[in-house]
Parts: sequence; structure tokens; C-alpha cells
Amino acid sequence: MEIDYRTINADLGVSGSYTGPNKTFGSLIPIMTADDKVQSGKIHNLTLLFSGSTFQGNVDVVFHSSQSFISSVQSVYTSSFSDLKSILACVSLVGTSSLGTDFSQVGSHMVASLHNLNIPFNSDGVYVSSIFQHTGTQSFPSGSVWINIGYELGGAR
Amino acid sequence: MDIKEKSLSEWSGGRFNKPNTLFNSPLEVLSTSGNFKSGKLIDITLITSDFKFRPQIDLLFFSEKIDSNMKVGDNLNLPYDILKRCTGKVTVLDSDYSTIGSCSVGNLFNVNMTFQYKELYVIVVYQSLTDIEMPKNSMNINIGYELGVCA
Repeated sequence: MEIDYRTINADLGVSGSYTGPNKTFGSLIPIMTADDKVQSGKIHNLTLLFSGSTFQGNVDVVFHSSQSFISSVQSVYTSSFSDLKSILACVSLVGTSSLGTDFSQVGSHMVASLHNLNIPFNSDGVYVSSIFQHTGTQSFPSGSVWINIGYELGGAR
Repeated sequence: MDIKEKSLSEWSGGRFNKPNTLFNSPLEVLSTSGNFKSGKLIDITLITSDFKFRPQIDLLFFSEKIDSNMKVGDNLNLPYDILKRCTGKVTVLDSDYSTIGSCSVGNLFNVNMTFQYKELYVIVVYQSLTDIEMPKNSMNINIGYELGVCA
């Protein structure tokens, strides 16, 4: 059986100045929508691409199975418990730690990739939100952070 | 399930001693006759001709042809408009290699990186302060992958 592999490459919607952890980083990004039909699948890999080489913090990426409300970018990340309790997963990309970093400097930019996420979904949509988790202040021009997600689709139910 | 392997054997070689430098010209991994195809990279095997060659590198995969004026051995100069199309990064550390006979072999399993492509390219970035001088074609990268249904 051949599997239907997909990728999505999108502007994360990051813009402006961020201070302190737990701030909404980018806007809510749809990565898969199934037009009111339930679609199963599995998220395999995630890549974040930063324009510039100064970012040192962590970023959490949250996968939602529905179009949840999240607070606007730069503000404290707010989402209701009823929305959050149905999230598919929260994935952390580590800027600096005693164990190293997920980021590489590539040219004058930064790239981080996580593999083997293996996050199943079974919903009519999958959405991504992101959270800035850095204690300092950092500014990002619009369009300076992109995300790439690799996933596969299973049989629709 | 269509499972295949691709060997990348054309390497320019040269002297490398600083991170964030271009290790080789962009390499074509896969191409199609014009239709999009999908698939998943499964594993990556790196073989070098000398046990002293254990290059610490990042492999950056792109689903389109990379045209650039970058020169092997120079600091990487990749515009963000190109980089933001990167579908994934795979990091190879010097500790990933074993000495096998007089060669080095490194293996990364469970890469499991999906792709959709007309042309799948990889850019290799040297990421170490270790000074190595590698002769031409002294390295081979074998990539195991499977093809999925066309997108």
C-alpha cells in the first residue's frame, strides 16, 4: 500500500517584539483541513526556519485538532482549557540547554528540525500554534519565521 | 510499497576547518519527469574513505532545484527566500561514525522525513572546527527512502 505523504511550508505569522516566556509567537496555522470530513493521519517531522542568527530561546509548537482560539501574537499565550485539553501534542524546540540545541546556524540563518514525532490525528482539521519561550526580548520582522511540517494521511473514517 | 536507495557519490572534496561552510555543491537526490511525487526518507548512511574523516555536517533537504553561486569551502551564503523552503535538517555528529576497517561509517536510522517533490535536493553544510582535507569523491552517502502516492 502506497502512503499519501504530504508536506506544508508556511509563514508562521511571527511579527514584532517579544519579551519573556509564554507569549503567542505566531498565528494559528491550518496544516490540514478535510472539509467537515474526519481525516486520519500522522505528523512525522517539523522544521522551523529563522531569518537571522541571533535567536537563542525555545519555541513550543502546539498541534490542535480544531480551530481553537488563541491570543494575538506577542501577548501572553491564552487558550481556554476546553480548547487545550483536546490538543494533539505540544512539541518543544530547544534553543540552548546543557544537552545542546535543536538549531543549526546555516549561512546567516537558523534551522531546527525534529524527526519521529509520530503524532496521530483523526479530525476534520489540524492547526498549529506556537509559543515564544525565551526570557529575553527579541524582535522578528514579518515573514522571518517559517515552518515546514511533514505528515501522512491515513484512510478517512 | 516502493522502497529504494539512492547513492550520492560525487563530492568535490577540499579543506574544511570552520563551521557553517559549504561542504559540497547542491546534490540532486531525486527527480521526476515533471509530476509531483511524495515519499519519506528512512535512513542515511555515510561512508568516508579514511577513518580520520568524520565530518560533522548538516544535511538540508529542499523540494526544488537549488541554483546558487555558492562555492565549496566558503561560508554558506544562502538567501532566506531559498532557505525557508527547506523541508528538513538532519544533523550528523562526529560521534555518529564508527571506524570500519580503514574507513568511517555513520548511520542515522528512523529519519522518517516526508517530502513532496519534483526535484529533491540536498545542501551539505560543514559544522566543525576540526581541520580535515578530503580528497575528491572520498565520501558516499546512501539514502534509503520509500515513495508514496503522487500528491
